[in-house]
Amino acid sequence: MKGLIKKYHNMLLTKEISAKELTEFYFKSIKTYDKLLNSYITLNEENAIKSALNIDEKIQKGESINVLEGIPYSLKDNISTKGIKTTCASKMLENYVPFYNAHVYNMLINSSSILLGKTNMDEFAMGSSGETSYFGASLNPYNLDFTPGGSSSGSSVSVSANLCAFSLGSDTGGSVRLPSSYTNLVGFKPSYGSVSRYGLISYASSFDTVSIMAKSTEDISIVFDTISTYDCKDQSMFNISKEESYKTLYSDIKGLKVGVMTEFFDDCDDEIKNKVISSVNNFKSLGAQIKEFNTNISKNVISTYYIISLCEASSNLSRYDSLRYGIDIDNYDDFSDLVKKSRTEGFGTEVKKRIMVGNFSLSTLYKDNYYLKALQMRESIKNKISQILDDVDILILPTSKICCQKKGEFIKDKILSYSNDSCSSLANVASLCAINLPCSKDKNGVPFGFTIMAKNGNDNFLLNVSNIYEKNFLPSVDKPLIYGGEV
Amino acid sequence: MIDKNELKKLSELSKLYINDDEKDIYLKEINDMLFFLENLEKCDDIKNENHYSVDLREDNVSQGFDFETISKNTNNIKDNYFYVKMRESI
Repeated sequence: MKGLIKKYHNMLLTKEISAKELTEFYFKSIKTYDKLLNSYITLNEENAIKSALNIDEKIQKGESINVLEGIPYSLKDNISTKGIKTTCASKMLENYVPFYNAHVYNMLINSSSILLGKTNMDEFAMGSSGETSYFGASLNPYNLDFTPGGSSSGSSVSVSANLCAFSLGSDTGGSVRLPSSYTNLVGFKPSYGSVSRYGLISYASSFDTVSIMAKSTEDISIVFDTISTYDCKDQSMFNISKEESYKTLYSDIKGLKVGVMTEFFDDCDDEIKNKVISSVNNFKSLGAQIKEFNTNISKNVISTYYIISLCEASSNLSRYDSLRYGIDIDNYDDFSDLVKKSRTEGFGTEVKKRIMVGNFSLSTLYKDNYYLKALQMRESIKNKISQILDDVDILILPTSKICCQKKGEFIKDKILSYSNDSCSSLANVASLCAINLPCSKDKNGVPFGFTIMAKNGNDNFLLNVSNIYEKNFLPSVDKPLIYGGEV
Repeated sequence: MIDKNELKKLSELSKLYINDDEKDIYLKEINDMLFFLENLEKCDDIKNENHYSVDLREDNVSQGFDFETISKNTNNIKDNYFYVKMRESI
């Protein structure tokens, strides 16, 4: 698959196009096609054009530019941007303008890449179809009757339809890999601790990971190297010096050992199962050794993920009380009434339900059987996966067991929606790094992908494996029906 | 599984109002979710790799301080709000 970052960088260097023209091209595409797709919530046009003009001035003066300079991108609307609305796709934060930047956004500002706008998502990242957004659902550019997956729905759509070159989202249980899978993208969830969470609005703090979506592993690698700088404001970050992933992207992967967790193929849609098995065989043809595992943990991964994430969410979302954050309420009896009224009016149904389930799991009567058990189960899963990854280098499994659903299906059938995270949440529960690669398309013409996972901290190795696979087996991909065109 | 009384308690703990016409919807959706999560509740094969002992406070619903008590902390009150210096943005 062809990335865009190097292509645009070379075009800017050779003055084939100016940064202003590139930025204007993208805004023109957004204004033409995003009426159909609803991928952006807020545009950043004035600032973007101003930044592009500064870059053009540098190029005109013959000054050197770095590889991300002038490259247009989007950010999920839960990543804080000083002076630009950050809504989390919720009525609660409809008019919230942060007074500080997320670390990752600061790193992208330093690289002089150009923020086009903030993208649509499930409200507070709670959903796997993008349909819980207060601003309406984003649609899949491959088939407008279908959702793009979620929760980073707008980010995936904006990259897939070429309404930006790359996007940052957040992945708590698969929220970047799922929509990447359904929109034919590479979606990378770095190891927990590789990228600072400072300024990422919290959903479940022990799982939340700022993640990257792009059209190629090479693009992902360039962005990862830029945003994964150490930040003391996130105490869960690794503080180790590391090599740039881009430098190891073409290393030899001879002798690779691939683990296949067969239990994650049970109850899988046949279309997905067959194609992911083909992808495993592709690794075999590269000389990899394949080993199968059945650990009996799959049935507990999703419960563990949901219980811990909802307990953390019920605590994290207690800050929305109309005083610290949240909507203003005019008529109220006392402080308690003010808080309840603002939360009742500001949160959507899915968010309210998840907060209540979180509080249930933490309550005196039930915490032993829910929260504490889930914490123990997380350790048990981590240990089992760690033992497997002592034996093999990577694990392969479907990104989702089910093909993409039509709009409304996930809202109608919530269990289907929760089950959609059953494969992807393994990486979050076991603290692994994981990447979605495109695999094939279903009978409705909607893509699906497969996931490769590696040990926590092995981000560069995972990107290397992904890049080698991509270069050998994914030389090109079909463009979606709704596509912003080529520069 | 929860009933209407437990739903009322949960909504209080969550600082939310649930209207009468919404109660059945939330009951169904929360119970569906708890049923989905039951797997773990039934699971008793967890190895105690790490023993967790987390001290959580009792989940009693309280109304917090009344305004009169809180207002004793300052002389600068107008329209039921404390007046404080605005923080400079970073």
